[in-house]
Amino acid sequence: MDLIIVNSAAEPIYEQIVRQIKAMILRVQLKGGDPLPSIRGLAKELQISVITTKRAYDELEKEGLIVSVGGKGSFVAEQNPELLREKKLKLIEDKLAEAVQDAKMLDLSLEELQLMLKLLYEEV
Amino acid sequence: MEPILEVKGLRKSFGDFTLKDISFSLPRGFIMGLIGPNGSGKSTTIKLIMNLLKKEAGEVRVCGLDTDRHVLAVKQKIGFVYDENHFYDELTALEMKRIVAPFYREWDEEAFNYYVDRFQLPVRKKIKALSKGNKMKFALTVALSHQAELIIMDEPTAGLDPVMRSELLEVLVELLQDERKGVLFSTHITTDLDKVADYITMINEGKVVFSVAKDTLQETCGLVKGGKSQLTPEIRDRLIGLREGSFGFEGLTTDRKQMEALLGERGVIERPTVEEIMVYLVRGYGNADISL
Amino acid sequence: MLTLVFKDILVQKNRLWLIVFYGVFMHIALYSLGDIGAYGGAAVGITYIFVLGACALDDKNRSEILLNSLPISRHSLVTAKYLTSLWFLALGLVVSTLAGTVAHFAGLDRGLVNLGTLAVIVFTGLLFISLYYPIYFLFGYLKARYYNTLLFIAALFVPALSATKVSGVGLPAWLGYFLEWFNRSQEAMALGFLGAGLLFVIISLLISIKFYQEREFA
Repeated sequence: MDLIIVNSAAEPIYEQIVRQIKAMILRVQLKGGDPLPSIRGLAKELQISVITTKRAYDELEKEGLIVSVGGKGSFVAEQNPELLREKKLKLIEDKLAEAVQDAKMLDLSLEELQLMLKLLYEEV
Repeated sequence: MEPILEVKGLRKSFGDFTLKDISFSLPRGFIMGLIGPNGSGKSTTIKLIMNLLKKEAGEVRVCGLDTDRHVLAVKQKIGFVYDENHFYDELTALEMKRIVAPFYREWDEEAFNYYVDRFQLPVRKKIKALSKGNKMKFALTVALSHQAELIIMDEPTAGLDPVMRSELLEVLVELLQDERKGVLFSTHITTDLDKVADYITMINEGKVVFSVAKDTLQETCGLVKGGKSQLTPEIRDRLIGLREGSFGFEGLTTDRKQMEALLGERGVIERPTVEEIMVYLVRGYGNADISL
Repeated sequence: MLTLVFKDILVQKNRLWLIVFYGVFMHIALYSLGDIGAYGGAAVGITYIFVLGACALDDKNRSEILLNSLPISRHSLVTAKYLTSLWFLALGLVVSTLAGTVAHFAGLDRGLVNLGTLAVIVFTGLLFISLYYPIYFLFGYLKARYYNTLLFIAALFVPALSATKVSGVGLPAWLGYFLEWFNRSQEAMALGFLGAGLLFVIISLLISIKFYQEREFA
């Protein structure tokens, strides 16, 4: 499991952790039941405040992605396959929306964008 | 569980300087940075906690114990590192250890040897012959060798190079893997705190300016930058430590949301470092309403 | 507590050999002051130098901040300093006695030490300790420095002065009897001096503790 924290980024550190762990879960690099590093262990590894890592885990727990078992640590939540799929779809949707936004800035038409998507889809 | 350190309403005056109503609390398992400009009262606060000075009012509790009533029990639980060396220059580090160790009920020779190895301390040399960094490391070694729960450090990184400072921070973070412990760390080198501190308490002119979680601090505060035309009276009134140049302005807000609304799309709000927060707050101290 | 006494000796270990030097030097310098002057000057001089030496090093290293941050009560710190000085006084006595004895057998005009002399010297040493420490614990080493210079001069001359026999003229009758008895019996005199010295030390210790409880270390 790789986590890369950029201290100078505008994005708060806890959000960087949330985003990266979330991505790993959605890509199934982390599977249901996998243990996560302890809050303090992670803070030590990343040399950041314990409050920050705790907050990241709280956030992930709120989203139902991880569960904390008192005294044992935190684990990746067993995901409902449908739910997981939905979350992944949402992720793709977000990325596409971003692409659309950029396209509009360059005044690309829908057709041009679709063509680009088609080419990319066949290529990958 | 009770906080590892609780300071309530401390008061002390010397001449024209008064430290007043100093209150803050450090929960177990966390590092608190104590910041403020020189002469703001950081060292005085620490000396009051350590009973080196007599308080005029207020109380201090360490692990729930009142420091006036349980003087010795409290000191058993504290490991301290001060800005200057207070060990005897005439003794070797090993001799010094032999003097200090018997006073601690839970002296841990193994821990002592571990840190001596890790820091590669030349313990057979006279303390006089140790470098500034090694003196600090020796003090830290002693502080970590008696099962102390609260580590108190007064400007431990003053005069140390960045490599050594980062080594120190690493040790502190490791220490906090044990969530019963706590660290109070006074410094004016605030970059040390940007990374590891959980809570920040700032003192200025003898008063607590704020005592909050660092994350909260960095989220509610913002460094506002913009062109001169954007500096409306409303914004001007709300900025702390405002600095205007020929190309624009910079100032600190302690209410980022409100500032975002006022500024609209036109300006930039950056996440400030602890140092920036301190600098702007000190500059704007007295003529701004600072509430966090 | 003994650790603290040990510390006061250890920090000065590089100059402990000076004890022998001072022992001999004082005997020569104070040769003309008679037995009590020479023996006393050497013993009390050694006590003075090493007691102040320990205090000076505490001050130089600002180690009172260290000691008061350790789990040691302030009264232990004070009591330990008194014990340290008793130890140095004992050491001073031994060295002084040895130096005088050597001088005696070398054929110089120096008597062997006797109980009376010893008592006067111990008394002077204890008096010095009792007078110095309260001021030291109240003000700290630096401010007590002028005061201890005066004490030093006094310490050199008190043994010599107390050697001159007190005459009972003009004193109340009971005091006259007392002094007479005192002058007749060396044992009584020794006991009297020792008792008075110890009493001073104990009173001084209590005052020092009281002062030190209020000290601040900025």
